[in-house]
Amino acid sequence: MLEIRGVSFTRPGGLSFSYDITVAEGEILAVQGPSGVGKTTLLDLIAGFEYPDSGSISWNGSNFLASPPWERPVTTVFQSDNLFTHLTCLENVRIGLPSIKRDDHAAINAAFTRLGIDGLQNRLPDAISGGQQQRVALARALLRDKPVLLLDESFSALDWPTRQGCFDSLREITETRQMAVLFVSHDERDSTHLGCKSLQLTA
Amino acid sequence: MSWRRPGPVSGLGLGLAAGLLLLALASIGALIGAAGTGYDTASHTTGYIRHVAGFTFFQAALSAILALALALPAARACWRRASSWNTNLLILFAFLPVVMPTTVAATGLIGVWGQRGVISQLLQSAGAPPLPPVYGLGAVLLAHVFFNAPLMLRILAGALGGIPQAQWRLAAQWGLSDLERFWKIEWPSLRRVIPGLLALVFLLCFTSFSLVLMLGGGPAVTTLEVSIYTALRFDFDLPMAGKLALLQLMICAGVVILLTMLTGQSWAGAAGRTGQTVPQRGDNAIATRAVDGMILMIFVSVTVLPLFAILWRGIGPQLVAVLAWPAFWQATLTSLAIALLSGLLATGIALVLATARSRRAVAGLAVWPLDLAISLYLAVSAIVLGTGIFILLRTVADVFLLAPLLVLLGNMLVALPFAYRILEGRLASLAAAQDRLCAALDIRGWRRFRLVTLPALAPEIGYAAGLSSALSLGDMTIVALFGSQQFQTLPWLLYQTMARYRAGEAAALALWLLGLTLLLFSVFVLSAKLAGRRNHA
Repeated sequence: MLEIRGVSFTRPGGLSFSYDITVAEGEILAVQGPSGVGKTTLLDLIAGFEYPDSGSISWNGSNFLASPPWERPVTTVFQSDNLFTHLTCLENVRIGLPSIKRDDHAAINAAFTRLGIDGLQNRLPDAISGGQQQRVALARALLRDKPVLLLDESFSALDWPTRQGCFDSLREITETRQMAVLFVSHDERDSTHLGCKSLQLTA
Repeated sequence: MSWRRPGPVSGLGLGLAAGLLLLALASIGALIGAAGTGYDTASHTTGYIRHVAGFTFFQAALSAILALALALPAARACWRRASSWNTNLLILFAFLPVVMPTTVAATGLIGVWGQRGVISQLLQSAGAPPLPPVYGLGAVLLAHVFFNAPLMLRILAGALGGIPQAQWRLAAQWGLSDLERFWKIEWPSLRRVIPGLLALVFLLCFTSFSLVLMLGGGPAVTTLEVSIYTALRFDFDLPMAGKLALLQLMICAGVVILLTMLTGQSWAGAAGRTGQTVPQRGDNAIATRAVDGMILMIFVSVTVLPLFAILWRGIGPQLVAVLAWPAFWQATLTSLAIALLSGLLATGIALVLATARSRRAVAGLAVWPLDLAISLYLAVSAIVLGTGIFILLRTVADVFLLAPLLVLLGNMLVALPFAYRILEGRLASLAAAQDRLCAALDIRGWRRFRLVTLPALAPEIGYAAGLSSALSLGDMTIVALFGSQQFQTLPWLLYQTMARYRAGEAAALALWLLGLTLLLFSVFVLSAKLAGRRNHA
């Protein structure tokens, strides 16, 4: 279980946020709210890109606040810039995997197929659409096998039918692998379609 | 606590920066020491220095203003006619002077504007008298405009291209006149780059050596750089060389500080067009087209014709004759070896320094030691640095015996600020775009550099290496101080051939040198692009 307990964070400008959240294994939590209420900040705190003033963030009881981003049990799909433009889609996926999994072509190809991007493996990111880029990033995130998945408006570039397809895959994988997923979204249809809990942040 | 850590490259960069600072300070110290010995307050000495400094300042200021006067209307005309292939070709051609050796340019200018040049021949065939000899202030100004107007054109066209398209559309919709468009739309963007551009071109003309030496035509038209060279190589007047070099250093340092204040860190990279033109009221009027055509024709005659003159006069039996000279092949090999080595060294050191700067910047650590080390080498011109090293080493070693090493070192140091700026800007933008992603994916240290940074940076590395090598291949400043009959480079051989009034052979040498420079530059740029395109994770 992902537990965010008594976490408070103050931006350099003085704007403060506080969080108390738990997400169980196999659960998806949609984080919603207007701009500037700290949705992305919450993900940054969990991923380790920001450090809270107080509180704890733990996975199954183990506080990982002291760990740098690469040692946390977390993987993130950002809003944009998820891919290295000089690498093909396949290389973009492989570069983010632990060395033992980089040559597991069957698993990599299966992830591409599952997310509807099979055939794009050898294309450069600039040669595919924004939605396809996000799905390549999602494929990599899922293959990384971390128990916590953070999605920062990762599907906003996708049209609704494609988005629905991605949600179905996400729901299935979350349940199969018992991941905890935090999912920032502006669109209420997302949480309705996923049938997940939603957390409404306010100013 | 921060996840952004500078890594070991930070220490390596600081160590290199300290070494560079030490070398620069040692050279400056040697100059101060030399200037202090045999201190001469005679009025003729002071008067001479004042005259040389005044003339150097005057020609540099006038060159910068003339280059701007030519480049600004040409940039506007190019922008207005951006869709036409010939203006695009002109902007492409405008890049050539950036890598062209000064000795080659001087040959090309004489080929066009000389007493026996293209223009004179055309005049004579029309029954008019030929042009007077192209030496003196006019020739120096022409050469400086030839070199700097294209640089200005590219940056000004880039500034016009950076104006949001919505503003051009509004101007078209409102039917603004050309003058209104200039003041309301273009000027706010141009005025941000013009002061820095003027300061940069002033600095380049202030430190101009080979062009003044080859085209100045005598002691009346001499700059601080040429006077330092004369004092050192002909009069062996070390106190005078030291005084002149210190004066040169102080003025250049002032201009570099001004340049940094005016432009921040961005003076090396801003060029090229980005936006799209929107047809404006009056663009297709006959008068506007005629004026644009005339402006572009003047620009071409000053900046592009010399290139054709080199081609036209260089190919022929004189080229075959030159190929038979043993000195030619020796100079070619020497030049290529020094250019390759100094280009690679400058790029390697610049890469370490720029990476260290980028890592320190994201970790919130001070970057000024790295910037200072680099800026110092922008202020310390090649001749000042060479003079310092000359004075520093002459008591402990035979400087002429060490000539190959000293030329290599000097060329590398002169190219370093340019290579650094090219890489530093790109590394900063890569860090901003990739830091979080790399941290999230556990791509760190050497693995990150090898798999992510290096391939993405490959075009800039190629450009920096190509530019550094081209600058080194064309250098005549350092070799003028340390060169001899036993140690010759191609520019030095070309200068000596011109000095013997062997114009045909000089043109053939110029063509060879230009070809080699472009080839070396292209090989670096293209191979780096190819290497960057295919890189497997």
